[in-house]
Amino acid sequence: MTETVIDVTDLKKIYRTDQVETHALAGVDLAVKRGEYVAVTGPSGCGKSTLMAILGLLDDPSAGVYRLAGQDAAHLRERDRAAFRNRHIGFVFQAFNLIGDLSVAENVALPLIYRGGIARPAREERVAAILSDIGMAHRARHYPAQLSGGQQQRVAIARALVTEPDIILADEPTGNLDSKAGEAVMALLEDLNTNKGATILMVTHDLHYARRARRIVRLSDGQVVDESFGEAVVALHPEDDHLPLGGE
Amino acid sequence: MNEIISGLLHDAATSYRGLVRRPFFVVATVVMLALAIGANAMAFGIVYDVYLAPLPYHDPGRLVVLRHMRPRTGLTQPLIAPDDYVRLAQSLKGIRDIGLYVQGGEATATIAGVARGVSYAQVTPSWFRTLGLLPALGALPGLDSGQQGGPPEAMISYTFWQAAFGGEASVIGRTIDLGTGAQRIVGVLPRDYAFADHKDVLEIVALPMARPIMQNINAFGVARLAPGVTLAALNRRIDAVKRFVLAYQVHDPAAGGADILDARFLRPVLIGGDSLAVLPLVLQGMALLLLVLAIANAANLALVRQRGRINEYRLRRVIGASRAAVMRLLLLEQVPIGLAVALLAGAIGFAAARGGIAPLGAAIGVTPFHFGFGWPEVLAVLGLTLISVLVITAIPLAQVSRRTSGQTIGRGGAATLDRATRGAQRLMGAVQVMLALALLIASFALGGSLYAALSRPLGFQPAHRLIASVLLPPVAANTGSLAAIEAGVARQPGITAVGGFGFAAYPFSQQHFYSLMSRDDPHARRFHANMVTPDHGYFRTMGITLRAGQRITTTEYRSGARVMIVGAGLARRVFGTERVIGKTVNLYGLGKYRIVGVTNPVVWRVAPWHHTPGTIYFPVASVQFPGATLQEVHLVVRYRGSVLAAERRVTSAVAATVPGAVASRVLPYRRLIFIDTAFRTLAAWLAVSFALIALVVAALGVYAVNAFVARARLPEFGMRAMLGASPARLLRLAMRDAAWLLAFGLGGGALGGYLLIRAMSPLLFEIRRIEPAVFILAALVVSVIVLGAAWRPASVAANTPVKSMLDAS
Repeated sequence: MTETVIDVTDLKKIYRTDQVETHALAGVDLAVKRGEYVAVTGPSGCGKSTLMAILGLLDDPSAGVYRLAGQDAAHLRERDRAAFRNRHIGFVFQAFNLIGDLSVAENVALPLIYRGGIARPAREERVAAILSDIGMAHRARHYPAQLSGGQQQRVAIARALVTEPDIILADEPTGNLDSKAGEAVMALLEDLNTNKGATILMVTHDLHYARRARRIVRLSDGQVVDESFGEAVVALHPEDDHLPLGGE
Repeated sequence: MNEIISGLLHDAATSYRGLVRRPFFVVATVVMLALAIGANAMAFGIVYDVYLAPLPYHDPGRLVVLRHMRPRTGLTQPLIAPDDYVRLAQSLKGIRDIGLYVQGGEATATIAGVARGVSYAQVTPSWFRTLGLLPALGALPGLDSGQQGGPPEAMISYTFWQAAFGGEASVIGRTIDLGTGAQRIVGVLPRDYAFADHKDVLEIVALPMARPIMQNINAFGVARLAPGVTLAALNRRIDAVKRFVLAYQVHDPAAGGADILDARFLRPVLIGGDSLAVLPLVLQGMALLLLVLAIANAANLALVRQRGRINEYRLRRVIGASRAAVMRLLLLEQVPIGLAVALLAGAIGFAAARGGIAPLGAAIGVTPFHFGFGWPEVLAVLGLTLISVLVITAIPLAQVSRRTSGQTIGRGGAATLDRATRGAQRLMGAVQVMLALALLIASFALGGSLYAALSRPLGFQPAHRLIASVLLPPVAANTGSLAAIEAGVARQPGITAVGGFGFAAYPFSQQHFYSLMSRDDPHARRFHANMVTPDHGYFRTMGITLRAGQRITTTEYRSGARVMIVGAGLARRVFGTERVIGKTVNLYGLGKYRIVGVTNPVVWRVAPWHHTPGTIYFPVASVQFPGATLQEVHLVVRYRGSVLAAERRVTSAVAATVPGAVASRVLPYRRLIFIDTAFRTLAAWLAVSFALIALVVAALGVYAVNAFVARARLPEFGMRAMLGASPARLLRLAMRDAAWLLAFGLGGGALGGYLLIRAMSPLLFEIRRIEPAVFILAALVVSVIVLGAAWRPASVAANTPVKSMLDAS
């Protein structure tokens, strides 16, 4: 049986001010199994980013159950969360979020440094290998400002992969890229999922890119309102691109 | 035109609203700059009054002081002997006038039927012309005044004229008798006249005087350079006549061979020589460092604020504002800040100068200088405010002028702080730490060295002691009157011991009466010795203890026996390691004395540059100077209870015991010590104040820099947290900035502190002993302050929720 990496039940997030209570997530149920490539989509304000932040352990849920790689991830202390993120999650963001003062190789090595216990030669070997995999080995000594947007996002993906996480959370990974660079990044993510078995959960509002995933989860008003399969699946089952929830 | 005015008004209103909405920036900037500029104005007031304010003499830049010094025997004051004066006046070319001023003392005079103490000095008739004085009333004495057989004349001071004669014009021609015969008052000195010390009366003296007085190096010789003659040229001419001038002491080759005879400009001599003169400059230097620190800090704050407003400027440019319009807006914002800084700085400077420096200057006597707060200080405040505000505005102006309208809003929101900005912030932060440490080291050095000097054993007990100066009427000017007054004072309740002595030389009196002394051998080397002529109660009351031998007995004191007690240092210099007790010494002009005791070292003054030749003590009754009478005697009184009550009892007992005697000055001994050290104590306090302000400013600056850097790095921290960095790791990362800043700051500050200490070295006591502790303590204080200031923003940043960190981008 395929292992469930993310298992979310009745997840809620409520933002409160003095006068207003906003339900950003109103009871989300979601399960992502190892090797899946899931796109979360929906209109602005539907709760995509909130869901992403909670799944990435960047924010706390107000209620609900969240198990990551089989462990309870909803009630961790910040120190434990940091370690949890490092061990289980790789992040790819719209704004690349590379550290300007660090070179490409240093940026990619950073999660390994935080993990600790990895000797420098082994770390450098791992970084070189991953940069080579994504075709950025020749830019290892460059700084982010010297790279194009597409190249920066490839470096961000390399950084997300370097610890071999259980899941890659990609938040609008093409949002800051032109269409050509965006296509290249999407191709890379697909390749990682198809050929390397990486589990990917991508948030995007762009249906075109969402369809490139194997499963599409649509949010509206903080709830999952629909689930379907992407082009890769549809190509295999052209007769019906709208399969039942949870179906595979 | 209306459009321009309307635009200006709109910008002014916008600027005002912006400042009010961000009060931290405004208040911090104004307070920091005002403190620093106020401190500078106060220091500048001292520098101006000491170095730049006009002296109350005509063309004072041409006046020089003649000095006859004997460094080997401890005579290093800018004084000459009357004999030197006579010979210089005869032989020295290159001077237009030359005058002599002999320190006098106090005497009683009966004016309008009232006996009052009068301070006096003796001058040659040429004194007034040399200084270029014009009388406020009457005339200057003729050049033949005071000549043997000539009319005895005197000039009186303006304040004395007002106080004793009610400012009446009829004072001219009246006589005044200070115990040496009636003198006719010929004129009143200018209102602002002062020299070295305030004197009520200047007696016109005829030279030569009695021989011991003629050779006593205890008078000011002032000359006016002839037109076209430089000081260097004059000193060459003095060298040429030196052999002739010093010929009167050819019998003393040991001392004479080492003599220095030269001239120095008047102002630095009045300031206090090369040593104390540096103090105002040191204070000004420290105040300027404080200002640099405050400017760096304010500039840093401006940079922080500017960064937060970049989008606002871009938006203004995008919607059509010209670069000049944005710059105008920035400049307008500085106007209320500048005004507030100037007002507050002026108030701080005024309060410090009028409330602290001026009264203290008057209390310790810095004649002829007057400390205050006037137009020069006001101009200093305005000038420094303008410079500071312009420097602070320069950074935002430069940034605004660099931005092009092509840089649209919303772009360039870098997730991490750019290197140039971080570099600038770190550099300014390091400069602040550096300056704060340098100032702290300097203040610790000043304060610590003064404390070290005052806390070492003084060799006598100043606590619960009074010093009283007593003026005796001519008929009672003898040792019998001194003994009677002592007995009268001793009978007063609360008085536990009384001692007396004949000359006004005692520890911290700032006076010396020198005599040449040598071993009882015609070929022996001669030494200058500082004379104290006590009676039997002196040692016990002062608490001076003997290292060897015994005290002079009461019988010896009363009979005027030729016995002597010498100070430990002098005994060692004259006799080396030989046993001293029982040895006989020759006192020039007084004869042979037998040494019966050696005192433990007694501190005569707390002045690192001052070398007391060493002190000898012999019975006042044994002193018989030709022509000298005991007009002024002194008491040292030990008391219990209230000092004010003791002062009153001494004053009344003196008047009751000897008719006509006046206790002219009664001071607690502690106050004497305060007067001697007041200027340096003040300097130490000012330095400590500057350092404390610097610490506060630096802490504020470090806090602001770190808060800014930490806030600007929040997205980066978010990324690191996202990749697995724990809060503790982020905290370490945030504190690393402060640690670097501290490392550079400590290095530079230690170097700066070292240079400041070297500059102040003439003012410092025992600095070698305290220097390591000063550096370590100052570095510790600065480290704690800097790390403490950095901790809060770093901690806040490190513990910010990760999502908020990422959202900050």
